[in-house]
Amino acid sequence: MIDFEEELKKFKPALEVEEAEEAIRNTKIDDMTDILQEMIKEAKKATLRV
Amino acid sequence: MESHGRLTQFSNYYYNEGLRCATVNDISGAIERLKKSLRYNKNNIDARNLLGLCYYEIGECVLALKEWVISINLKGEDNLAAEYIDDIQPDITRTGRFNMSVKKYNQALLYANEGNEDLAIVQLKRVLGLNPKFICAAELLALLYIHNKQLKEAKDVIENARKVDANNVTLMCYLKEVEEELKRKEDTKKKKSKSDIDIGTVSYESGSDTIIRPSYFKDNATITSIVNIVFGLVIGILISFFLIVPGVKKNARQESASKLVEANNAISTKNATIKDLQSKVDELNKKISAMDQTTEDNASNMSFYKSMLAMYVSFNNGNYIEAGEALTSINESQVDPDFKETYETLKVEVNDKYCQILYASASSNYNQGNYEEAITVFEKIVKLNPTYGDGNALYFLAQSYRMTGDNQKAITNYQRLLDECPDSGKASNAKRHIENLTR
Repeated sequence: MIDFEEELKKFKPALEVEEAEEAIRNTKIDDMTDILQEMIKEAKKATLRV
Repeated sequence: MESHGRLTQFSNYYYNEGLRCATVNDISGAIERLKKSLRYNKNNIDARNLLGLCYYEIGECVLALKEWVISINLKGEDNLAAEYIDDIQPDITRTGRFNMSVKKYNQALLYANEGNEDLAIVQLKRVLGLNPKFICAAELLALLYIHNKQLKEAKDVIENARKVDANNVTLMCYLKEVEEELKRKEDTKKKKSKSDIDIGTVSYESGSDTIIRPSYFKDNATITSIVNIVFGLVIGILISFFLIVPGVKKNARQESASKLVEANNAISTKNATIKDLQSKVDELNKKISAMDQTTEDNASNMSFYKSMLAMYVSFNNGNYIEAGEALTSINESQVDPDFKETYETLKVEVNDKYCQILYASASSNYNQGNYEEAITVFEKIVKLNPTYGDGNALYFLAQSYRMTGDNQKAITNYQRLLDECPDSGKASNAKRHIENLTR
């Protein structure tokens, strides 16, 4: 049985054209390569500290 | 490098999966896989463009536009995303079809949250009219229909939406709910029919109609007729009260809801148009003020060149007074840097001649005791060249003031002479006069 109130809460306002610019600016497009590079950098820093 | 290669392989794998889902209208599945593909390799342009197309397919134009813009930023040339953006450009303006459908959807969501379900349904029908593939709108409309027990309408909306996105989980849940509800209704109907048989009725088919009659008749005609008439009247009244009146009321309510939605739409469209026009008016006003400024500058330049020309002509004709007066009316800040040197040379020549004439006139007035006239002319000379005649102009200006009894101005000009021409032959006299006047 569907709970109407709960189900209605799942609907969010759709993005309007005026908001497109901000949405594009706030998008993070990091991929696995970026994450791996970040991890390697952190590991190197940790090694240097030791 | 090997790790990078493996990440690219994963990305391509999910891209292929996404493509396969998209080809069988499983847009939700395609979106999920394409997002994974981009998580492994953000530079997978085909995956990003296809993700944009999937968003476009389910009516999410702004999300589609976002992916295509990022795609063009990552790969500027030879990129299909540019063509896609060009294609949808007319529909994604502020008053375009997609943006209007999004605005209406957001309004419908607001109505639904406020409990105005009738208004929300009317608005969502319009949204789907503008953008039939807008899945979010279809989902919300189906939910509202289910809540209002309009199960057949809900089923129609869901089935239409599933033609676009076959495996949408939300739609499938709603469909399951609708089918269960319909089955429950069907069962209740069957049970009722069975109970009719139990209470002694017989049903049979006549053509396409089902006839239900009592299983036996009893001939008590008169009483039965009266009872039937009374019963018929009661039923008639009840039908009109429970069926016709609510129907009329519902129609009136729907009509007013529809009118309200129409009015809201007209207002939002007009607001958007007003915004556009206002921005155009602002732009035009800016242009007008810029042009006014240019006109003022031009007029000022014209006046400057006229004065320059008048001065030059007068000077050439030996009319030094007119040339000097024309020179005083010139605003030096307007002199063009390329012309500055020539102007300075001309200015020195004109001023020299002009001051000679003025000085002769002022001296003559001073000697004849016309101190007021002398002051006017000496002031002109001092204004043009404060040290003229080794400070003589300033000295005789001060003298003229002293002679007219204006001691304060006389002291000021004596002091000016001491400041600007301390080596002048008249400096000692000036000092003496100051001492006498301040005593």
